[in-house]
Amino acid sequence: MFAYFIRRLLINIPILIGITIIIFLLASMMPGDAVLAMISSETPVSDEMIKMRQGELGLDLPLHIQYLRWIGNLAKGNLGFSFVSAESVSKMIVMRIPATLELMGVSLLISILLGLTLGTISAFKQYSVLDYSFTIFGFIGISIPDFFLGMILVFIFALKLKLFPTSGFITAGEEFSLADNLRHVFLPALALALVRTAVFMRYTRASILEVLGNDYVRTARAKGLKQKIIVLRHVMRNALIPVITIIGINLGVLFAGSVIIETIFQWPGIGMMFINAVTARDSPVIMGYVLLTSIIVLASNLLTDLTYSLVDPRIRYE
Amino acid sequence: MTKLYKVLALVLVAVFMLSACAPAATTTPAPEQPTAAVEQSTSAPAEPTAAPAEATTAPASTGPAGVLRLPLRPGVTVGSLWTAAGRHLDEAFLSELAQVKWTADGVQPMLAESWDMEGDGTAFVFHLRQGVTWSDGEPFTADDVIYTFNIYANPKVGAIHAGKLADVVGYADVVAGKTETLAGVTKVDDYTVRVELSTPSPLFVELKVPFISILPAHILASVPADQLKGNDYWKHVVGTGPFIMTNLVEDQLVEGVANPNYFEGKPKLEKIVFQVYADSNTMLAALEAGEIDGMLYQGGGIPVDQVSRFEALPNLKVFGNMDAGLPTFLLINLNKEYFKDIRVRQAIMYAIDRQTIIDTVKLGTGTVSNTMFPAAWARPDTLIDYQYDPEKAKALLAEAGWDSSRQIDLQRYYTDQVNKDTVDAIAAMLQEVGINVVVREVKSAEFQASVDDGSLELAYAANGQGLDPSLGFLVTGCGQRLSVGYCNERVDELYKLGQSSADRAVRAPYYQEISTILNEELPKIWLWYEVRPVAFDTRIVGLAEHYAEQPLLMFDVPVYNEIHTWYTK
Repeated sequence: MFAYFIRRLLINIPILIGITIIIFLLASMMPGDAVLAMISSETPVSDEMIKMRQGELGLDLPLHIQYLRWIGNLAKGNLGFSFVSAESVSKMIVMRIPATLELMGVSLLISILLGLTLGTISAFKQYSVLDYSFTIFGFIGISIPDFFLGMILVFIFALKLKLFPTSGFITAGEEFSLADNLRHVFLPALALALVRTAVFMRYTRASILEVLGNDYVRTARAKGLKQKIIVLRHVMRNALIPVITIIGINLGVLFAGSVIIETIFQWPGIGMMFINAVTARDSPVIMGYVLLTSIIVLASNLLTDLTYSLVDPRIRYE
Repeated sequence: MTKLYKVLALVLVAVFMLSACAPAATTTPAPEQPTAAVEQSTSAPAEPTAAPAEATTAPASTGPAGVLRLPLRPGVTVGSLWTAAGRHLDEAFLSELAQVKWTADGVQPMLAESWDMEGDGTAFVFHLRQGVTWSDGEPFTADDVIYTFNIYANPKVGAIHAGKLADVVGYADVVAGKTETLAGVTKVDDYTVRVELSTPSPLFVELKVPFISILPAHILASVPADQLKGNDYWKHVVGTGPFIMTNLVEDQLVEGVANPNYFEGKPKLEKIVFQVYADSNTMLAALEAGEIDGMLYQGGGIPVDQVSRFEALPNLKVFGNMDAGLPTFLLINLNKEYFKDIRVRQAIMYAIDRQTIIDTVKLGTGTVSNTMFPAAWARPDTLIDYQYDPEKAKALLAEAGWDSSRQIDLQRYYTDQVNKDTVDAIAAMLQEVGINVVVREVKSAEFQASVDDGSLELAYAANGQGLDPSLGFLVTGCGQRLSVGYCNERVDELYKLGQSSADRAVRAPYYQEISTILNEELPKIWLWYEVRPVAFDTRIVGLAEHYAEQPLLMFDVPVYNEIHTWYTK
């Protein structure tokens, strides 16, 4: 088991390097660079200024040199500095992660609680009216894009009913207060959560139904065990395995953030930082973000796999 | 490019093979193993549907008393030396020697109480205001002015507005790296600075000085020029402006409180907050919900098709026809052989029914233009009026031997619905006469790259010239990148002559001659002069009133509009 863990860790390193190379190449293929992205034809800048800035940022060097520079800095533990604001990339990420964690955490919590509960009810009351309505809700939820849902929520709850603010982290001009902050996180978290709730619900329902149909459950019933004990001891533990997979994958999203929702709701997380960096061709920030999310996705995959063996004794690693 | 793709493909294959080699678990009934995909939408935010146009019944504004809340776009919190869009932070926290007045008819003395012009603009002597203190208590002196001028010109800093000092003696040496001080800027005494110019520029104060926001030498002089950008100062700006910065969160908000020692008097407002919005729809929703007190011109202002939505709100004063000082045109690459024939460009002008587009798609906003300058004094009464005439267009194209199978790429980087429809209408009209135009939406960086690598063909663009027609040089002068191959020595000569005097009566004939040449030679396809609707909450007394007196928008220069006199009802 330990050997497996080490092997997985080691093979993640070349995968990470490969990912960074791919992203670096893709980012370089985008037309324009950081300096060109900063200027607009509404307020023109002369050629010499542009060339000077490009030289300073090292944008006129060949691609592999730029990449090696970045790797060299990384080896020293330095993620570089933003082309746009000259701020340290690691500082930028550290500053913005808490907001993303809050948003994704709240949304994940809502969707896990709702999804598991509704899915379980749905499975045990299969083919009832409740089950059908949850199924329909599930299909709607999976089909609606989260940004569209976000805009609908803003329109209904913020503009018409005026229950929640339209955007932002806290109310402009006021001191930070937790209550105010939670009011602001509610709509974006809900927009994200509703879609995931539907996914979790479907998975839970399917998984429980699959386990319910197994022989050992029938045996337990035949033995005369109470329904409650069957559910808790036999069904849930086994049904939760695929659900753990889904939750584990979503852990990666916890840090990556949702670019679109953060933009619509002006939530100052790293998702918004990333899309701004892409538009501004801010390579150091793009690479820093991609490195961070790749590490997290790989780590959460590993964590998920290890958790299986805890939950399901049939799973062994060699 | 193909080499890049090959490398990319190789690395992709390698990575996939590696991940497949990752040791797998041995399981009996295997649970599903979905592939690990980072679940995020990396596509740029799709165009959200415009919120329904029905009016919402908003109660009277309930914003906090004494606080002015304004929206900003991202990227403006980097510091005044590098801000490419909007100088609202400079208006609030810093000052210049002189600031452009909101009435657009001159400059207001600020840190310079008065100035003397030597000769016909060969040098200026600035008499600085005395008794002004920085927000940390240190006195403002000539040292700050000299430091600021030098740092703006320094190539290691990469200031966007460095070019404004191009006429100062010694600029070439500083740019070449031979020295870090401008020879032409000298200290006469603690409150007097002399600036010598290499070419006589009587308009130096009106057109260049307002862009230079004065920075504190006692804080920044010790910072090496190439480390200035990431410096902590920009997060805690010490300035001489009406407000003192108290909090800056990158790309989120900037807050400030009234400066009790402001040299024009302590502002009546207590606090100013700038809220950053990445998406203009979010900005508009915030305005509608009363979370901000106005919509500025950044990011397009209020789209013309949504003006009625905001006019219905009782607490907002909407300027639906605010002149943006923005000539809009089709940028045309004159380096391409097929665009060199004047008849082709004339044909394009005749093929586009500009008045109809204005009346329909643009809901009647904007005025047709046949040349470039938005300022009426810079245009003669008689210009060729390219009235819509598709038959004439076809005839001209036939004469010029235009090949209608050739596909022409028309780039557009504005993303709002009105501009999308406008460009689509233009494309349709051009296709009518046999010019096979295909519209392509691009991001700013892509468009700029196409200018540099010569792949540009046509692009829908605009240029801010609200401050002064001399700004037009940057898009029509010889060798300028946005001239894209246009060069007329006479035009360059006229631009020079146009700056030889501060008297508008003397300047007008020169610009009128440029207008005539641009109208005849068509280096760009002139379309119209844009409006950019803006709106302000009437609870801030003074905000809407000053914009009512502002004849047009002046892009990216700090504007003096007596913000210290505003207050909340």
